[in-house]
Amino acid sequence: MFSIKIPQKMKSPEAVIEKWAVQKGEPLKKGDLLLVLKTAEEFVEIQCPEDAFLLQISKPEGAIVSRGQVAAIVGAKGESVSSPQMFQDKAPQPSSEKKQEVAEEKKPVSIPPKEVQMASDSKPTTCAEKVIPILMPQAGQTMEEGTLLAWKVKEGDRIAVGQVIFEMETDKAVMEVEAVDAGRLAKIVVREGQTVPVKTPVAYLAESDADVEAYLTAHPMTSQAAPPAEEEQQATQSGGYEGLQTAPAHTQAGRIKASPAARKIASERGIDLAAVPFGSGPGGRILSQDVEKVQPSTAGGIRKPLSKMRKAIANNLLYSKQHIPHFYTKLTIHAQPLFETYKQTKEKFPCSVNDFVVMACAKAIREYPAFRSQLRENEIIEFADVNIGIAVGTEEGLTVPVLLKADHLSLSELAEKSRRLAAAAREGKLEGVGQGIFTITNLGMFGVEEFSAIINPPESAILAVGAIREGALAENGQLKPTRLMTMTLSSDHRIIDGVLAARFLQTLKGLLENPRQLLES
Amino acid sequence: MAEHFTVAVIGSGPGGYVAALKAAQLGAKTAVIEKHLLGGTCLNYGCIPSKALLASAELLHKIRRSESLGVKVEGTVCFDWPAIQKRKEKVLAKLRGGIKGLFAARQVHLYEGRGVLEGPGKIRITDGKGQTQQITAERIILATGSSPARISGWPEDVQRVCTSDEALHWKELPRRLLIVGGGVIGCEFACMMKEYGVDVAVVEMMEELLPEMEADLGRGLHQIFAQRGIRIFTGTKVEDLSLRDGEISALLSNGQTIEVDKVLAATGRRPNTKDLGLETVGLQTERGFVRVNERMETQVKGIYCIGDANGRCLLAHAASAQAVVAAENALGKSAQYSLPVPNAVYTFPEIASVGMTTRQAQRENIPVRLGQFPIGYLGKAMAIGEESGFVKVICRRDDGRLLGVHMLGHNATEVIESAAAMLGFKAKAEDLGEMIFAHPTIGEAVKEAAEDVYERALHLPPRKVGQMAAQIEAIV
Repeated sequence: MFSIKIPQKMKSPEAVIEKWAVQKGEPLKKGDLLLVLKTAEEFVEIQCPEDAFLLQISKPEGAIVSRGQVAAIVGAKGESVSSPQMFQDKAPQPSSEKKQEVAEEKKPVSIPPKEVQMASDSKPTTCAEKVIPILMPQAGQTMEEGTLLAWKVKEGDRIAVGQVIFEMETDKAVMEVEAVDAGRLAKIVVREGQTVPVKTPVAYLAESDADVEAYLTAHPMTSQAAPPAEEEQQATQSGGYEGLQTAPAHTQAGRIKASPAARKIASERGIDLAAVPFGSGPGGRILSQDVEKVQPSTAGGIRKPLSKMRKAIANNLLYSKQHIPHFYTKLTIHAQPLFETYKQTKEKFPCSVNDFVVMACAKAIREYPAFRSQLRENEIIEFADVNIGIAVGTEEGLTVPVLLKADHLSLSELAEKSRRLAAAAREGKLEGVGQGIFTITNLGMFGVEEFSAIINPPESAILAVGAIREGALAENGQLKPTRLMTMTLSSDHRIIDGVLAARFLQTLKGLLENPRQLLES
Repeated sequence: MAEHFTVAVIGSGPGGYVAALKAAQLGAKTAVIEKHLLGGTCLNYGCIPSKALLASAELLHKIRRSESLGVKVEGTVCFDWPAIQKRKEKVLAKLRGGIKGLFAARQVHLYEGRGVLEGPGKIRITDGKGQTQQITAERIILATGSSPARISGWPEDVQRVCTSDEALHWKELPRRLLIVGGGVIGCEFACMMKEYGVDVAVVEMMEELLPEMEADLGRGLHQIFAQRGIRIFTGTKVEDLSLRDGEISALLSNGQTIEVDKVLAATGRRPNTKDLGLETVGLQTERGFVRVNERMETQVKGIYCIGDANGRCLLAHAASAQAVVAAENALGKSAQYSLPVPNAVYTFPEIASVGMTTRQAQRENIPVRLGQFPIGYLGKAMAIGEESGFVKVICRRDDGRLLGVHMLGHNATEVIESAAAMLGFKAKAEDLGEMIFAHPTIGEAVKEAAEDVYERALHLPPRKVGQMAAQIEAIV
């Protein structure tokens, strides 16, 4: 293995990596262009000193490097870079289009800026300037695709700037699209009724059909490969070392022209600049007054980035609600005996009502395999171990440590283990992650009487347990004071039917209303 | 009966006096306690006196090369050190008078004496004659500043082994001066003293001058200093200092010994938080600094700390910005200290910067783009004969937002304000490049450097493309 270093004889002591011309896993030939550095005075193309295999890029684009610093690791094909602390590879993976461009530009020749600039649109120069793609516009930040409703022009027509060329429909509205370039409409590639992602070419302007054909051959039609929109082209036309570069990232996203004050106000108020409908400044630039007219979505609110945990919770639960057909069954049990047994047991060792519930669930789940089953694609997988997750609320958010083989534990073991798991979870240490088959969530300690929970995917059910509360029981026409506890079972209807859920709850009821037997069994 | 105030400020430097004026402006009954001179370090031992001395030095520098601009000075050019000192004192006195006037105009009550906390809301003030009195205040703002660090183990002869406190008020100049520390203070003194004919050597432990700033700035200044005959030892330490009848001999870590008449230790500053009674209110310090949040609140409710004493940023203008934040929060408003703070070095040519350095960006793994423009390409620079230096712009690679702007060149400290404003408004390099700058100005270099980020500067030829083989080395 060898390290590829920034040459000591580089004139400037420091430089920024402007571009990597190769990517990890690629075979390199001596003399191949590896990367381009930008210094105050020049671009320096760094060439590969030997034939080798690129094992790792150690410094990504945009990194500052100095003389003698390691930029990459090369070696034999298949060799692995063993010591990770050596050089962390933080380089973003270059996309495949970039690779194509590199292939075209591989010869390390001194390129005058003009040529470089034309290649920047990654079109073959023969027809680059003759073919203009017409793109599906992005009307609003949230628009991802649009349906072409009707063409207002046909192939062969000459079109003028501002002329309505087609009608499109988004998820929000139908609108007319005007031409931003003039020319001859050479080829329509998206038919009426077709839905395509934004920025996908829908037609091409060109004087000759042959140019379009040549363009399309050089350019497989993908939305990424689509040449940059109007403003982005401006950005790449500024020359410089952009021969190997796609448009600068800030323009890829579609730069919105706005004054610094407008940006500041927008960021303070949580307003997306894309949501500002009109820019009253020169060239449609958004000014502060334009932002002020927009109703912020989170007026006066404080914006915080989502923590990893919050993100995970959000994704999981959204997935669950969207993909698992939940249904809910609710049952109230006579909890006087459970309450008394709990009080007595607590004298002997620390435990909670929830430990009894876990124990009862473990036994019931033993009996009902559907509650330890998961639906995966076209199969139902039944698990042998009764691993029960306990929902624990922490400062950062909800976590679910898992009690493994809960059906094999006595109440004291169960109580001790779940206390330890909850404490560890509050410190951020999770056990049994991903091994749960059923979850219990209990808000009884907060006096919550009953609630319905969202299934923790890929599990098939979750039990939401309320508080033991004082109530009355009607027996032989007489009201008798007692204690009650309500449990709500959320089940995945794809594998659990209503009757099964009801039976499961009944079994639980039987176990919890006879806690002595539960403990002895 | 102790007099009661809404806000009491201990210290009247650029933090303290601004906090007091702000509090008074907001309608609070305000007191300031100052144990020494109004204006604190900035006015008496820092920014202002050094600028006054540097102004005379720079004028000398200009006169000495006036012929390059076609101006002949006949006879000898000389300077009158006592007169220079006297002018400086006049400037300081005028500024102190200014603060006093502002206090009077806003009815800020000034206590001349040493203020010490004496439990929550209480301050004991002891004046020069030893008379004491107590005042009470609902909110207390600590603005006690810092003092230059003296190096322990070195001779304690403050006449010869000095800090900036003494050096700014020297009655006479040394023949040979060793400056320990090539930071802002060290560089300003080196620049000034050389012009006054002192034989100057600077020893800096780190590998370049101005080690906290963008590396190119220190490198650029090093070259300029070297041309002027300032001896610079970077990556070097002073191992030992010995005093021998009127002469000081310094042993450097490179083995060299240099003989000088005075030593200036410019190696940092220590917070003035001792003997302030912090323990009476339960305030703790970290390496002497009183820690605060973005609202300038200490751990103790109702007590704020601003400026050098909180260690966030040891600059006068940072203290003033924090002062406004503290005064507003003390009086029920909600303010935060969050804007970028420009840095200024008053050498000639000047150095200034705002925001992040490339080194910081590298440390935080932020991919960047760089743009640079040489001052010498500007019409203004040529016209006034101030062609050295450059502007360097750093922005985020992903969205182009400005991270930092760094400048070496004539009037850099004034020019940087435009960049600081843009940075404060979270502008992109493109925004800065699109602004219209007056022509001809030195500031145009800022615009051009911002444009150079995307190779769009028009007054630079396109970058040449050079080629070079990478070095290859076996990993063992």
